[in-house]
Amino acid sequence: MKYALYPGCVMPTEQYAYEMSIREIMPKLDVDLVDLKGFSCCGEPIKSVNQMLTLSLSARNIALAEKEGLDIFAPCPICHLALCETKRVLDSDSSMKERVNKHLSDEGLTYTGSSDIVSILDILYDKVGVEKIKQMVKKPFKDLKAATHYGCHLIRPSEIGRSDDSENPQKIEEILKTLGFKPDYYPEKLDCCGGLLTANLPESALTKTGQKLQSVQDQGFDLFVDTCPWCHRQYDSKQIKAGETVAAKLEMPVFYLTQLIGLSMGISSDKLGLNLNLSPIDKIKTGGK
Amino acid sequence: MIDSKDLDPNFKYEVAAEIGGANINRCFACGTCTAGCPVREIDEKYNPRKIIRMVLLGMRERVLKSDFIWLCSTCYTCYDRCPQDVQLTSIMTALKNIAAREGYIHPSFKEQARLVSKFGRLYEIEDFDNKKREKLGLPPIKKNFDDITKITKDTLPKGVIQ
Repeated sequence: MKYALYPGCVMPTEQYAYEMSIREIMPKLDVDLVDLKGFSCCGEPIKSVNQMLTLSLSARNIALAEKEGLDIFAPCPICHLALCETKRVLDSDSSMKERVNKHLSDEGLTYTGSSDIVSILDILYDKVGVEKIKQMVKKPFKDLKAATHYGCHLIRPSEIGRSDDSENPQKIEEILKTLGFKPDYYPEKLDCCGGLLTANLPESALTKTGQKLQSVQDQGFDLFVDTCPWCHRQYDSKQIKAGETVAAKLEMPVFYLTQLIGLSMGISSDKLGLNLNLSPIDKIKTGGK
Repeated sequence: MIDSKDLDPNFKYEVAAEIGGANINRCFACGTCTAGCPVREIDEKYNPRKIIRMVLLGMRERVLKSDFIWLCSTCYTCYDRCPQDVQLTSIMTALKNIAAREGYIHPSFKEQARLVSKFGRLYEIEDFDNKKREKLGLPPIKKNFDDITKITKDTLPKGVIQ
């Protein structure tokens, strides 16, 4: 399997641990990642201002991969949604495709629709599969109760074709079970992290984050697992601030799913960027409590 | 107080003509959107059902000038659960696109548009960033998006970026 790695904006400039852990585990799962020159923003953050710009930027990024004959792997769920939505719009509306392609013509690029776009869960669960991940586990975790957070854009809107069921997603749970965790349900599982409110309602954004983490903590979970750089920034990097907004002392270890897969494969913690996690992750070790 | 003289009955058609706006007229005001909204839960100013009602009634000025259309966190919960497939998240985007064209734009979004059009991404990549990446064993990000300035110039409404 070979994919063009679409890094997006947040992962390569701030959420390094996500990128490091992806680059460590993917080759071991026989997934080759190719770095292409010239990727820009997916356009999703400025969709509110103008959707033609979002469609054009996403189409441009897809066209860059099409030129190399590669499918795209977009680890950030927000980028993944922007690229998928653009593909859906352009593949079903030829006049829109024509309009967008006019914007790309100066660079000699054309969107045709030949490349697929896959998310982190598409790769791990559907392409690689839990059986293969299981074979790679050398140091399983034990007896740890894990809470999962999928991130809104990875599972909604289902109409566009998302990576798991929008009301009862289970793929992260299935992967965690192969690593030895005990994932469990909690009522707030589908709640938004609030991250995208940061620009105009920073307090409210942190309140959303704090409320979810607090209930996870109150329900006795040992750790919290996510796959989105925006969500991870809320739950991990801003955890103390988020706790202040809900008057709670939060001490919830937060990991990227890819970091946990890496640890269970026996990859060293520095290669997985674990020293960059700001939440108290030290209490979580392979082999159990 | 709503005065019918101030209403624009064509506003809903204007919204319907935008990308993603087509299903606005399907709303039967059940409130599933508001019930599941994570922003509504903590901020009463934001009420998706009310916003859709205001659009259908034709309260054009009040909607476009308002702060509340900018408060959607785009979690797509309402979009996914709406029994009438109104596609609320897309309606909010359509409303913001019209507002931006008329000069009503939240300053933080204006700044994001400026950053993306200037640097090609939300966060600029400088040598410093690539040095940091190198230290972590990550390959450099190569800049190559002079050409997107043309795309942003062609698409963004006047006045959003200088």
